[in-house]
Amino acid sequence: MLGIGNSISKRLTALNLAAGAIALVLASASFFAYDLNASKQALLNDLSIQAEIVGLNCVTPLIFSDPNSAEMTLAALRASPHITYSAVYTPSRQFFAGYWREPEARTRQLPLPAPADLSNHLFRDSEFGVVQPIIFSGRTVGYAYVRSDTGALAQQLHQYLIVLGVILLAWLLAAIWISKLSSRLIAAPIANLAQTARAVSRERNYALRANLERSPDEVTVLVKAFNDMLGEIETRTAAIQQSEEQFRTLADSLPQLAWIGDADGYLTWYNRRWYEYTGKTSEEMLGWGWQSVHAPETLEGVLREWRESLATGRRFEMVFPLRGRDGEYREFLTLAMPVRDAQGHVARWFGTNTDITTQRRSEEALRQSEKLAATGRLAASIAHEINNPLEAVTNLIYLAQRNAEAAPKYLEMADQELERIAEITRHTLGFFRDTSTRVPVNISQLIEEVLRLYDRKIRFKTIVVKTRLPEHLEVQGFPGELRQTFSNLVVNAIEAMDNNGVLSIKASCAADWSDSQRPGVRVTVLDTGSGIEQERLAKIFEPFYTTKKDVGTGLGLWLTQGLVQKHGGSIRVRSRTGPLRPGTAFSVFLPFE
Amino acid sequence: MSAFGVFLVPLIAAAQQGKPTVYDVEATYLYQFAKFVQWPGGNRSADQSASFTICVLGRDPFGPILDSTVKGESVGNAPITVKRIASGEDVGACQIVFIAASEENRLARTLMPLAKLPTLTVSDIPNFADHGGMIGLLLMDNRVRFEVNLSNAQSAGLMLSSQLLKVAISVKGQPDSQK
Repeated sequence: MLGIGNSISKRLTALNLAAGAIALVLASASFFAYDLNASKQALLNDLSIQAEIVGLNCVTPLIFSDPNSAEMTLAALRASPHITYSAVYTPSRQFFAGYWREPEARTRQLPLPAPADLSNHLFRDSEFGVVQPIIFSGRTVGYAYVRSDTGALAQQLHQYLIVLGVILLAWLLAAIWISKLSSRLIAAPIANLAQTARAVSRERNYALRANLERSPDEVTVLVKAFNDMLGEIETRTAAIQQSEEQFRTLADSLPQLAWIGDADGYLTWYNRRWYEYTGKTSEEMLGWGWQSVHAPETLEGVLREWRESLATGRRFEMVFPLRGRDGEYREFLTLAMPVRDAQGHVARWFGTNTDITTQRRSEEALRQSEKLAATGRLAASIAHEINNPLEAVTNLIYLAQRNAEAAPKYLEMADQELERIAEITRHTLGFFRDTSTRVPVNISQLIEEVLRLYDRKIRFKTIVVKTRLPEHLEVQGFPGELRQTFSNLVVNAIEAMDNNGVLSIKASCAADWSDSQRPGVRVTVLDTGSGIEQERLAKIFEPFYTTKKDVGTGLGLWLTQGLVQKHGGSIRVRSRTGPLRPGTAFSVFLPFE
Repeated sequence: MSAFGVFLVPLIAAAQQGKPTVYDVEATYLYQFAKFVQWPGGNRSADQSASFTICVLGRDPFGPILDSTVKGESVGNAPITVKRIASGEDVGACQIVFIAASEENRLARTLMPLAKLPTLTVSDIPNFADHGGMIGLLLMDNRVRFEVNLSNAQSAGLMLSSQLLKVAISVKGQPDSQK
């Protein structure tokens, strides 16, 4: 049998032996104590009778003061070998006559013990003693004193010890036999269980099972529970492994770079894409090694944000460049989410890096193309604007050729028309010739120029324009971009309205919506069109979203928002649909600086 | 040794120290004998009086000692009384008679009327037991001891306890009926 089985059976044997031995010794001790006490009582009884007899036989020697006669009477005690000493005393407790078992002790006249010294009849020299008053005719005529050694009791004790020894020996043999039996019945299944448990933990093989005994006892229940637990662990381990496998597969198949970190920010795992992109090894990347693929100029900010997220447990979101294996940096949008345990503490971090370089470039291209499209639309608009005065000039020149008298007047009128054309041209150039640095831009003036540009359209639709544009509202910015911003909003408003609509534009000093400490200019463009439904309102700043299916590109407002944000400003929209005063209002905030 | 000493001290000397004299001891013995003697028809006076009578015949050597010794004592339920008598003729009511030394010279005559009476005769006259008496007191090793004449007692119908005989110096006139 194995070590555990042996130790259990040894312990069982030891327990059996100890319990049995204690029970036996206790029982024997109590029997012995009882018997010893009974024997002592019998002995004392015997001594009392002896004293009584001695007393009876010494009445006349005492009365007639004849010690010799008393001594002869006492000498009869020789028949009781345990009696060591006996004596008769006068009523005044004086020694009268005595008997000694050992003749050499003859002169040892013991004083008569006081009643208090006889409480348990046992003396310090381990002898028993009894004193009986000798009463004759109702009068105490003396005392008889008898002492005995404990030889009788010692003999009894000796016999008891022999019996106890025999019983203990018999018990020992019985206990060994019982423990052999119990080690087979109890320890063997437990040892088997322990062996299985060790094998499982050593080999991590949860398919192992402990042998099941047929008898339905507690050990079998334990073994059964153990096997069930192994089964459960096996199932769960498989499930965890599968889940892990699935996660790795998923993470490795992502187009993004992905990684897992500990709660303290130590990264433990990267997906395949990460290694493919960076060309690094897992040893280089482990922990904080990812810093080696960051651009030195952005690394400090990244570390600051990452540590901030680690400290607060807030999700991490940032765009920064990462160097690829070709040495080129590409822009990545990085997201990291904390995974919390049952107590709500961050257990680990899951992060992804999404390459947004292409997206960025696409957006840039879109902007360019929209600018071109806007230019095209503008060119058409300009052509319209210029066409009328050109037609007028053609007519006026024709009239001037036919009518020489009125020619100067016609030519002057033609000159005015040409002046108008020149002005339109000048304004148009403003859209394309932009400054490379920010310059002071007068917002009111700029909006009036935009309105003048679309004057024909406005008049064609008989739209009423109401403006409240205070002078000297200046912001720092790029005039061409701002002109395009408001141009888009005005065109949208005009196109949203049928004939006889009202276009209201007002500008004022204001504070930012989100930061009241930032002063600037707010411009509100309000139309009386049919309005935009709420569910569409949320999407109108997205690219390629349009309500004007045939004419629009869906880029106008997206571009407008980009331009406003470039100036550090923001744009908002409110709208009302339905029969009661519908319309849409765009508000643009531009900070002074 | 000291315990023995009490009895070895000369009794005369002891008297001067307040210790028992020969007469003290003899007076005690007189009524103690009663406890070991069986009278025919019980230990009562012949006249059925309720008392047990100890008589002193002749010149009383005890003086007040005997009276004071037996005072308050009893034999069975009967209180002890002391009576002094002049001749053996008066002994009828006595269970025990002490014959004083004054009667030594006329002992035979004195004892004559007592011969068949159930009266225990005690005396310190030397060889009293050999001269018709029942218990003779004598001094031996400064101790009061006694001799017993059993046949004298039995002829008077008195039974003497073996206990008493055990402490006697000698028992004379052993009868065949003695158990």
